[in-house]
Amino acid sequence: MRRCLALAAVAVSVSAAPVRAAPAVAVFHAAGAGADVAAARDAMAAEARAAHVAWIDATPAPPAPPATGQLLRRGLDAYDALRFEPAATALDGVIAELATTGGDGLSPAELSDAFLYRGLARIQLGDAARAWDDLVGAAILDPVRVLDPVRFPPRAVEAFERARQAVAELPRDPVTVAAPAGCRVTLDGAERSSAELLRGPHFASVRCPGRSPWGARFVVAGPETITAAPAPVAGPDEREVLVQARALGGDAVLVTVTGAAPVALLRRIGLDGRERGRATVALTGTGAPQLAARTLAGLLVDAAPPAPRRWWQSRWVWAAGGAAVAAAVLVPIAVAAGDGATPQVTLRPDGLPW
Amino acid sequence: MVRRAALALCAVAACGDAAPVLAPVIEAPAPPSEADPFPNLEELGMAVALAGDDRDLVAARFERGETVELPGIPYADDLVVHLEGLTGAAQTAYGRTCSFDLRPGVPPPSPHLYFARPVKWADAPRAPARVRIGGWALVAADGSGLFGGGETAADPMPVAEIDRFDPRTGEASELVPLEPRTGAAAARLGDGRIVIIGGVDPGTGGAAAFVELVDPLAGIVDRIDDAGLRVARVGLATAALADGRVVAIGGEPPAGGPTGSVVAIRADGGSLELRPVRAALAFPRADATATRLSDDIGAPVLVVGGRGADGKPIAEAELYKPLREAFADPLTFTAKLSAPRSRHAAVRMPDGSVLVVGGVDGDGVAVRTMELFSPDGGFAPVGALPDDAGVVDMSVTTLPDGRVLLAGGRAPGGPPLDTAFIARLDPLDGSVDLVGTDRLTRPRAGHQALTLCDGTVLLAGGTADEAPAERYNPPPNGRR
Repeated sequence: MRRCLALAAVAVSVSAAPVRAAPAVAVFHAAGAGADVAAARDAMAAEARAAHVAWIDATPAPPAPPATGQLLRRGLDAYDALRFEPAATALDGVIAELATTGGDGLSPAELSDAFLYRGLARIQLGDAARAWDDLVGAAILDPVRVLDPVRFPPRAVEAFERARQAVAELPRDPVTVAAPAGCRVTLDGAERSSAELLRGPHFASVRCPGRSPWGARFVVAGPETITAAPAPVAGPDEREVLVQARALGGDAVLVTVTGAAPVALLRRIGLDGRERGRATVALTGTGAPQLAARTLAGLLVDAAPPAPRRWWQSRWVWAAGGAAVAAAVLVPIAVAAGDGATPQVTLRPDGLPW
Repeated sequence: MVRRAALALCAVAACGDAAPVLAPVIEAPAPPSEADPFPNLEELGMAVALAGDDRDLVAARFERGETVELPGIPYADDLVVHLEGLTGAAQTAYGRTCSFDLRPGVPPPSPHLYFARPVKWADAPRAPARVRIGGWALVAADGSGLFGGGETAADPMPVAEIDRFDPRTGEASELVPLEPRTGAAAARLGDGRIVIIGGVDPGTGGAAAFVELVDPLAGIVDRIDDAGLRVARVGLATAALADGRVVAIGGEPPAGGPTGSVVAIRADGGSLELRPVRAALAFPRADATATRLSDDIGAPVLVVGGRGADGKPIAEAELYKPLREAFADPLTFTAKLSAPRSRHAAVRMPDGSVLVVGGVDGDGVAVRTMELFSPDGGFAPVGALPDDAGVVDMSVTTLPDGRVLLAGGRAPGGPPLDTAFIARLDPLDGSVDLVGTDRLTRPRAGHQALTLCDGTVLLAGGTADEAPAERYNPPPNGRR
């Protein structure tokens, strides 16, 4: 019985210990990650807040889709309204943008439209030489396209048909776009990473989680492998995070989400800028949010320095109070219970021929 | 604070109750098995400890005739009961339970404890006895052993049933049958379910265009059509990644040469994703092994050996990096087997190296050279298997202390063998020691083996006739 009382007193005195000390800061950065990390992020945020650690979601906004589509629409509308000069100007802008976006956000038909309509506008403006180049460019991008004679003037239909026939004689070559794992690759507006393309100018774009968009115009003159190297989105600035952490008087924990999987790298950085601990954890799958929260909790242990204390936050005050309450409650029970049996289990094997 | 005070009050209030009884069920091989632990036993030592902890929480010894009873077991999670038999000062028998929880207010469990002489094989008539050749064995999330796949011995027909043996309760059961097929591979996903892929559909003779997902705890089997034939192959290698995914590497369609493709398999709730990744083996191969190099997330997978398109074994190893979903650059990762082989086995050792044993060369001749792969040194020969060791169709099982048990198998074209060996890393210089251990109760080849949660090895099938499974009590060194 005395042992029970001692255990109970220990339990009460342990419970009187103060909660974890004042917060540090945890910064979450998941550039390019999808909505599937939301549950793990929320679980980690709750864990940080429960530990009185400031939680900052420093995930940058996703990159804005290119405005090429709107500009193309404007150019096509101007052509349909027979305003050929503004149409050509708008489509000049579209085609200039394609060199850096690689046609990201445009369908194969829209990509071909940019060249086709600029060529048709130039025909109307009397610039036949440059119009021919555009029509060939449109036919290279979409060699099976046929213009509707009801919608387009006979001169335009005839010119495009000649361009198509010229293009049909061009050889095709295999083209592959090599991109990091998990990226979405488009070739001439279609989602694919390799294709047999006609010789001439083409467009490729690559979008990856956690990386900046990448796009390029390239000219096929033989079998090609185009290596796309989209730059990773910079993670949170460690120095800035440390400034915030120092202001709060504690360490910082950086949670950086990488990869298509996706996986979080958790790093605890001390006030002196040195790494104090790290862990990796998958953020998706059954039980991943709980695991992520536990992993973060493991790094938050003792991460924060004690906050300024008030007298009622002293462990001794609480211990004394707890002991008094325990004594008031336990002593009468102990007297009533006397020296009974222990609360533990007895091991008695079954089937032992001994 | 209030909750802890209430707990303390409850603990005190419980002082007046009678102590509940934890009654482990002792199972021992029956005479005349050499593994029978009781002959000449003078003393029993019984202890309760936390799983994996060398320190006993409660322990006592009992002389013959004395009542075996151990009071004062504390409530805790992850407890194990150890039972040792002593003759003089020597430990001549040992067994322990799988881990279990003791909680106030919950009736104590009755964990089973296999008590036997160490380093001995004995028939295990209660364990799955269905004989199969060339199936798979996996440990389920609850510690029970699962045995599936393979073919019947006498009249080769696919075995559809999955047998389950739970060492915690000593119960054997049968799960919902699978679709019959041969040559399938199985792997455990992170959520505990088993994914079964590839193989040949005996009905059509073509590739099995479906995947099965087995939930061993719920006893449910889901069949998912693989219309794209993404994993419809035989001889593929699988590896369970640390993040819960499984990768299927290489293999060959029933009509066609080996492929280099890699498919990532991931289960999330009710859906199963089969996603061919961008990476591909530089050397398409079948019958290779895939071994994860550590338990860290993103740990690479080593692909070793196997047959190429010309039917010859491939010497070059390849290293798959799951986070990048790419293979290591072959210009920088140049590890090559000194003895190229297929139908071999590869197993991770405690220091992160990989031991490659057995297999056959391009002419079908046994390869007895063992090779050890280390990330910094590539492959190095580390001795040879003895002439009486199996080189194909053997089982390779990691014991609780990191040593590796090689059991049964055969020489190419030879009869099944009953020999067993233990390989271990020499702690002084990292070389590999190979020592013989007790012979199996009968010759076996193409059998299935796994280490159960109580540290024993259960081995089933691989015989020409209906024979019971058998169980091995490993050397007790480091079993806690």
